[in-house]
Amino acid sequence: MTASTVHYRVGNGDMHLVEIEGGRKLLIDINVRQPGPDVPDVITQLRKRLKRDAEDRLFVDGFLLTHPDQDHCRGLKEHFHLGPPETWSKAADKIIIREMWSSPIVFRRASRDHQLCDDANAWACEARRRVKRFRERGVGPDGERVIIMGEDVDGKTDDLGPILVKADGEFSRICGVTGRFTARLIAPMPASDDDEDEFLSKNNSSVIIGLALEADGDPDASRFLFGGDAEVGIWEKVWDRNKSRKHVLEYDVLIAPHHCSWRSLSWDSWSDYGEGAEVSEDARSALGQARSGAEILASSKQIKDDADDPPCIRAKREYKDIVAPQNGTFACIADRSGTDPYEIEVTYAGHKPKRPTVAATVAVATGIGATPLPHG
Amino acid sequence: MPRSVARALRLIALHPSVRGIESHFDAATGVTDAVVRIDAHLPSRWRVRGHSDNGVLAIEPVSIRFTPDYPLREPYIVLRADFDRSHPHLQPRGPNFPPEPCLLFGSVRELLQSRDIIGVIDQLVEWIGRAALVRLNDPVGGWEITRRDGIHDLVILNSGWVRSLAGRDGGCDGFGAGYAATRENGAPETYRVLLSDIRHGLSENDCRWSGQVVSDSERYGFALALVAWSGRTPSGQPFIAASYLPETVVDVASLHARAHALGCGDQLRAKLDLLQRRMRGKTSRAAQPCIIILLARRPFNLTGGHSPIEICPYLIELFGNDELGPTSHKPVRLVAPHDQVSPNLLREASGEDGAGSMRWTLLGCGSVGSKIATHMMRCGRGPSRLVDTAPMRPHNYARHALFPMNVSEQHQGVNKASLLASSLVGFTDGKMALAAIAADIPMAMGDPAKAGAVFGTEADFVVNATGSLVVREALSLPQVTVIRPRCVETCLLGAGRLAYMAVEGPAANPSVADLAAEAYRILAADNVTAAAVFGPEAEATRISIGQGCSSLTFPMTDAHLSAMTAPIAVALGKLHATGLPMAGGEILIGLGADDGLGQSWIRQPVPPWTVVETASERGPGVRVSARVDASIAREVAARPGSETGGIIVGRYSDVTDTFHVVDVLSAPPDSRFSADEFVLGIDGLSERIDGLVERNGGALYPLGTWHNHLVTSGHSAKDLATALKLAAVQIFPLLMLIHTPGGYRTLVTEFIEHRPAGGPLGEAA
Repeated sequence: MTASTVHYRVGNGDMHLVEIEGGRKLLIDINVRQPGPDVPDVITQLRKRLKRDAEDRLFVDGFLLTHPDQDHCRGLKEHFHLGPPETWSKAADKIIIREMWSSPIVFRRASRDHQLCDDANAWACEARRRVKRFRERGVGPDGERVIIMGEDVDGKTDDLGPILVKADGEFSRICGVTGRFTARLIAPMPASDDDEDEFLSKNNSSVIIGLALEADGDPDASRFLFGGDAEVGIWEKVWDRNKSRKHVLEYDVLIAPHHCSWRSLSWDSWSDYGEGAEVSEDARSALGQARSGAEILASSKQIKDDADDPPCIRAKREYKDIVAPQNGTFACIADRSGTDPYEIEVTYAGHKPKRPTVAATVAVATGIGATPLPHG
Repeated sequence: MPRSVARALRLIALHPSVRGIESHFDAATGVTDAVVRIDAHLPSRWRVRGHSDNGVLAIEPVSIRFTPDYPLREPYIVLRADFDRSHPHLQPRGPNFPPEPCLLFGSVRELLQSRDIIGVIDQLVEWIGRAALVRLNDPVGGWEITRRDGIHDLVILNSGWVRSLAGRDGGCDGFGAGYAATRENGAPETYRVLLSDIRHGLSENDCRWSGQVVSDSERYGFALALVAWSGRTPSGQPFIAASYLPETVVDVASLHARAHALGCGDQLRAKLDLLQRRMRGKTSRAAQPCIIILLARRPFNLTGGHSPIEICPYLIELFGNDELGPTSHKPVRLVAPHDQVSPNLLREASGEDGAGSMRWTLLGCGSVGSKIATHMMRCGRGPSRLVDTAPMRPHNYARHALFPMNVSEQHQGVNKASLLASSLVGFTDGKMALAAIAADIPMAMGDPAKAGAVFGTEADFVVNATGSLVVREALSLPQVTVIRPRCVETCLLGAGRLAYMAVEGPAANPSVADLAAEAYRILAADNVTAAAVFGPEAEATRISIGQGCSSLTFPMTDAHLSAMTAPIAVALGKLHATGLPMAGGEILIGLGADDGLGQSWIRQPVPPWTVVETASERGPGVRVSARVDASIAREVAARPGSETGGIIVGRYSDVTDTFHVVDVLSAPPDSRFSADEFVLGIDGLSERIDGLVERNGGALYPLGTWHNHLVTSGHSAKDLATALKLAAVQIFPLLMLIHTPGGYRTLVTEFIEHRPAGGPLGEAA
């Protein structure tokens, strides 16, 4: 099975499924809204792609929550099993998360600046349960596994050894087994003082991860960069920390951070400054390490030429400028007609967006796929 | 431009992967030529560069020609002339034709009709995208066989057998073959070779060939065929020829190179060296063909097949003193493998796997039997022996699987088994004989040698499709059940309204006779089936209950008979594939709809019966169904400390002298139960018995009574008196079944009249 990624149509939100060569599945964020005329039934689309284990439970191998905002974890409680795997019930038939990939923000207490929605609280609660279990009994089986992405302040994560990935750390294991990928944790980075720690909460605590996916024997066939909702300050810090080794920021596919928000590229408000807003050169550099033929993908609503942010038309223009010298492309998940997610196949010659299906474009004109094929 | 073509061009332009389209209509010919520019959706690095490693362009121009008979005829689609021709999915047209993509495993014409031109274009887009990645071979779609642009000759072979030669270790063996070389209208000579499985040792003697020349354009003879296959790699894994290579063999040197690439170079080399020595000093004016077959083990199954072994045949013409070493430029011809009809091929074409190798004998080659045999033959699971006593009559052709000859050739009175065998033998590969036996089955059962000849010594099971009660009874004779294979019975019932299939248990328990009795009980229990089989309409044919396919009794169309018989063949095929049930037997009954459109089937497992007595000179056999046994045990348990009883129902066979007990009637309400005795009452009992017999048309009837003893003991004096009293009015033996803690006891009484001169008295025995 070749590697591929699936990017669901969740409006201004994120929901990506990375299918690693060999079959492992990593889910990155979810935003499961009530299906309606303009809201695809993404959970059904997701479930169709998942496999069942020996006990008939749907599962994802890994689930990375970049940060605990509602548009990144909506639907968690309703659709995912939380608690020990033995308490799973066929009647509810929820999805098992074999291994949680969580930012250390789950260890923070709620505060005025740190209010969590129900789903985020549920995530934090489950992550803490799994960490507790690890502290008591060591690394657990599938359904009990957790990996903490980044160190927390005050040494809170110092005892997590095998389940902690530090900033700049690289790893290839999922569910305790080596997979055909290499992940690099770019952020969160350790805070240097209390003020900065405060600044780093929520959006700015976003996990930024680079994923090199293997295909047909090439271990670096295509590199994906997921930036969650990280804003300009973080991208500046990312650049500062990595400018001497900028290859670690290279990508073939970038998910434009914060739903193609201008705030990831500039300190100036788009609605206030308009075209006068200035781009942060450091943030642009951090987001500008596009490889030849790279694609930047906006997980957002359709991008209109207006004062909205996100998604922001100016950000789109900036991203198009970034990929232009590389003969790259920019796409928005919402641009295609129909309800199907945006899919990317990974090959030994790079990534390749799945071509639009005919059914979604001219089916009405042709009545495709309607007539059975008789055999004589 | 025809409207249909204009419409097609408009639709093509709508396809999301079409980047441009130019067309030209030639009014003189009515032909429209279009060049469609298709986005190959190359991966990022190739897209930037503009082409894939194998030269597929980011935007591929494709020529599409619409002839005036479009859309009845599909458009002719070709790629640019310099498109890489090593792709496996190009049509094998040869270098003089433009490269033509093989779009699908099926008919483009049908695709056009089912999904319109847009569906064809979609397939083309998919093809180009996959061609760029060389992913035209994949485990799901199957391994595409080596594309060859020019074929010279033809070899007919049993592909299943040839593939079976490729064992764990590499090898190369010689086999005999027959050939015909013909030349038509001045064209070059072509060979048609029939491969046999007879080993050819390449001895001096074996290699002296002499062909028979019929004319300038026709000659025949025997030939050598070498089959070579790969073995294991140094790590012990099977050698896999995993890279796709287009055909490159043109001479003996390139044949050696190809064999090497397929992992069987050394094996072939050894045999060709030997053949070269054998040809030394010989000269021949006419070419002596030698077939070389290389077996390539692919990483996954071939497209549309169930095996990863690709058969690659070639032909070398020997003239004597031939140079056959790895540097020889002696020409090698390309040969197309054609499968011969064989059970393996038929199984594959039927979507069946190789499971099941049981041999079986068909008893009865009438309409039902011939249909079952044909269905089974066509899926590679046919019988190896056919038995019938009757000759084929003209009216039999109304429903028989065989076709009549023309009037002058019709042989009146030829045995059905022989005719059917001569028709079906073409389905076999000659490895398994198809025997036809003309025998009177019931009569043959009296003699173990004759019975053995009927069943065949190697048969794993036998299918009784005679529709004959007497055959069923004869098969159930105790001395026959111990020597014959397990039996499956099939027939139609109720004027063809129902189909019946019974699968005997191991050691004939339950036997076909037990199962028939059980089936009558099941049929009588349902209003619809009871009416169909035992009702007034069936009254006229009451005598033929259980033998529904008698043509004179039940006129019906061939279509109806086939429809009712086909599911039997389906079930039989599954049995053949998975084996007969390990414990007990089963009954399948199909009921056809009133209008003949549809059927409903039931499948009833039947556990082994309790054999209380086996028929012998000492007395009749007594067999009790598991259901009755359980029912009696329940009734006994319900009256602890008391005797109880009832009426036993079933069949008595005169032929096998055996009682088959399949049901019980409960004791009437005025019966008396005590520790000393059970007295069977009469209240309403006659009516119940009449109702039962009427309902099942007399197929099942009271056989006698049952009661229990609280201690293990035989019949009492009281029992004997009752039995004698009942026997006096019963025209067949009366069975009294006694349930005791130590098992069943039986008492069989029969009233046999001795009529000495003037003696009016009867005597009970």
